[in-house]
Amino acid sequence: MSAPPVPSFFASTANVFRFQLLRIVRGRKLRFGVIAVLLVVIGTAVARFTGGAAHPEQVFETGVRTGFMHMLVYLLPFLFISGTIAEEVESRTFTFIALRPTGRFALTTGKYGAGVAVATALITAGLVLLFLCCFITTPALLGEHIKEFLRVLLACLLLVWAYGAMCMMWGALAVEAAGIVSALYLGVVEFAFSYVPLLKFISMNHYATAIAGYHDDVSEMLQRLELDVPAALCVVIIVVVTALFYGLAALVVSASEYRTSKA
Amino acid sequence: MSDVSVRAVRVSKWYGKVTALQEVSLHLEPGVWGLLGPNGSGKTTFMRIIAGQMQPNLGEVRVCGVKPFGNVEALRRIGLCPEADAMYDELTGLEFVTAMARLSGYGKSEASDRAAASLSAFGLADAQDRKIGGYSRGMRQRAKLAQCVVHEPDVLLLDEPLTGTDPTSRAVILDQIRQRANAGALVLFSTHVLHEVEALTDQVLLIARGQVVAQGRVHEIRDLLEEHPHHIRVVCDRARELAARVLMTSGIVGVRGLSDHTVEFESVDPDTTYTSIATALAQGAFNVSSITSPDATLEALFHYLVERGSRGAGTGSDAEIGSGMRSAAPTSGAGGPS
Amino acid sequence: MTVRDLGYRAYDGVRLPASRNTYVLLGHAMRRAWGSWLVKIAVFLGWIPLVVYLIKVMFVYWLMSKLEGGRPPPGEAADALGILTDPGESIRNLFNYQVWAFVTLITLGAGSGTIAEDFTHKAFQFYFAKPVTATQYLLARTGATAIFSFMLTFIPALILVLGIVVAADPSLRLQHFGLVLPALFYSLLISSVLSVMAVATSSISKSRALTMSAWIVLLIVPQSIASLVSAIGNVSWFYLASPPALLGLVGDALFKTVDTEHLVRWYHAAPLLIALTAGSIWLANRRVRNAEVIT
Repeated sequence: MSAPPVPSFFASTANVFRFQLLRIVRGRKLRFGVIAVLLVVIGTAVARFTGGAAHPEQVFETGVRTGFMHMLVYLLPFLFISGTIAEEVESRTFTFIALRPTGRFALTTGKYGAGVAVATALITAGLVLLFLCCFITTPALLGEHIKEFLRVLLACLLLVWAYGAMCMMWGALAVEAAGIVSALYLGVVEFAFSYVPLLKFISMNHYATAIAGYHDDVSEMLQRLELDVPAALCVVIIVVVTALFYGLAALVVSASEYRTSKA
Repeated sequence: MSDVSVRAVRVSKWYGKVTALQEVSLHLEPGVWGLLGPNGSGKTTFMRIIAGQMQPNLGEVRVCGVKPFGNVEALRRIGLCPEADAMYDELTGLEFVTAMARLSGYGKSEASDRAAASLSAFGLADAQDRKIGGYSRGMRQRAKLAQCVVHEPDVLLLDEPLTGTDPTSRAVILDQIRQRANAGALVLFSTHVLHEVEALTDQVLLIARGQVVAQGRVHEIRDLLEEHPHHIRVVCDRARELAARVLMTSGIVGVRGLSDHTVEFESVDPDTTYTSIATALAQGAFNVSSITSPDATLEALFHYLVERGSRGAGTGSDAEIGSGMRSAAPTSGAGGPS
Repeated sequence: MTVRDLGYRAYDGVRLPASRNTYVLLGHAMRRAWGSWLVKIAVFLGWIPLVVYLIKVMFVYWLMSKLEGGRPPPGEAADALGILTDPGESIRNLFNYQVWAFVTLITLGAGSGTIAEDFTHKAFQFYFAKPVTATQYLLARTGATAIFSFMLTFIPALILVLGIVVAADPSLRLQHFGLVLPALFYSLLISSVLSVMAVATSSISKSRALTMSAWIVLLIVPQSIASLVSAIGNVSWFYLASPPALLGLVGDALFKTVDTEHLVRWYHAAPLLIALTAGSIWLANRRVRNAEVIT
């Protein structure tokens, strides 16, 4: 008997990443994600070229805020990450990977990485398409707004990574209701709170909106409750929160037995 | 590198109010071990603890000298074939086993080669490129076994590995298990089908109600159960007359006529009883067809120990049975008193 | 020699007809639905919007009693007090909250994973080894979701209408009481359409996680796309792709709160709702009938 030596953390992570990526590509959730991104782009294009009156800048902002920052950044991490541990536990396949000498931290990292990579690719592709669709007929504006595009891309990707970490954490903690708990958390804390004065500072979506350079319309009465947070600080806040949730997720996965069978 | 072994010291595990394992202590060395016990006796929990998937609430488990939970050095040397019929249905057999080999530390081509060889060893070479979702129950079972041995583990934990397999597959699987054991692996093999264990090994581990009630070779365990009357069944032409002749000899505690030609003696002193029966048969010129002992089978031992464990369940006698565990294994480890 | 057979005896007592199985299954489905913590959350928290509206009714009642003659003032103030003079919009909004916040939870917890779960746990062998038809099975599964959804839409609406009737000017009471009928119809429509669609979604896969995700996608994505297109191009036709929006269009017509800026109307939505419901029934029925009972 000659079992191979324990693989390094990076090799283990890469192996888990590849395996998870293969499963995502084979699964049906990827189709939901692709369709959702395409619908946003196609919907925006239809409105842009049939509605007529709106300026490309307005179309781009509306497309980003409504389609991406208020939907896709929630939906894609939810689809690809919330069930990454829970579905394996529920379908009793978690034993196969947990038995390998990869280490639970590498397991968490590889799985999170694969989900985030797919979501990142879809968001990036979608935003590029949206940007082209909005400015393709006005090449001069295309160059002018490239900075705005990069800001928006950064904001959306930060959100995807942060929401991915949140989904990972809730999915690892509440395996029997991973999707629902993740959806509720994202829906209430991240989405609904982003509209509520003061509570909006809990929501990463609020900070991402600031990074993208967009501003909410706030009544005069609520102006006093507004706080102008610099974009750089917003980036730091999102990164720290992402790391916090990711760390918690790794801790939960490392410590859990994920019991699926009885005595 | 530590020697291949599994050692448990006073291991207890409970789920809420349900006690799955209670003060289990044992020491296993390379070879095939049959893990027997009725449903809910704690076999799967015990295997999952050894496999590093669970932690005991009390006590300690060491596999090849190290604690297995979350320990990659231990996991490297363990292979588990879980009981549940759960697989990655969207992957092909080869993709699944290759992925498991890669996660075990092999490079891409090495993993693929090993996976193909492992699947082939279990008779799945022709089906390796088909999706697992389309496999039959037996094929899925063999794919699980293929992933279990692909990294050549030192400790093989097989939780009911023969479930759903046909006789040909069983022969293949049992042959593979023998090969691994002969190569120096420790194989712990749980099943409900006792004759399968008997065909593979005579080293058994009996669990009932979360306690190890016996460990060792079947006949050695049987010999230790001195207070349990031995049964001797004689088939001859004048069974009643033989019973009358033997009845008064020492050690006989019961006689049962099973038919006109068959009589069964219960004895607490089997050596004397065998001598008495032989003398009576010779003196009476009986025409004897057979002399057998129904106790010698694993099934009889299993029923005796498990029923005894069940009778004592929930009472103070539980602890008595646990502390008085019968062990015929070498006493070098933390095994119970022999 | 006589044989005293103590073995099998055919049951010769009263047997209930096979049609009775629908109720047996429904009871079972209700208990299973209640086992979901999402359903419990929805049932316990689903009264919050009603309480908020009732407080508003009491406040407006108190305010109007202070006004001269108990009549609302003209202009903007009248809008603020409109819950007692023109309560259709308030009731319509209450339905909106109930659907998005609570019926969604009910359909998620009790509907969108139910058949997938039975697939996963190979439960069909237990149901269909008995004299149970696919229709009875689906009726029970859908019925449980629909009953909880109906409870969380109609009862709050009814209580709000009654509260408004009590607090309103006596001359308007009969007119306001007439809102019970559209409320009843709308509750039935919401609960039946969303339950049927959720249960049908649960039949598309053996994976409960996938079917629940699909249901969330179905509820959210078309609605978001429609909002996006409407915001950019002022085109409201995309709302016809969103099931909750289709129900909303019918609700607008029932409570006379139609947004005149939008071109889509209830008569566009109604055929689509019928088609969606019929398609869902067909899909679920086909999936269940084609299910192989493998042990």
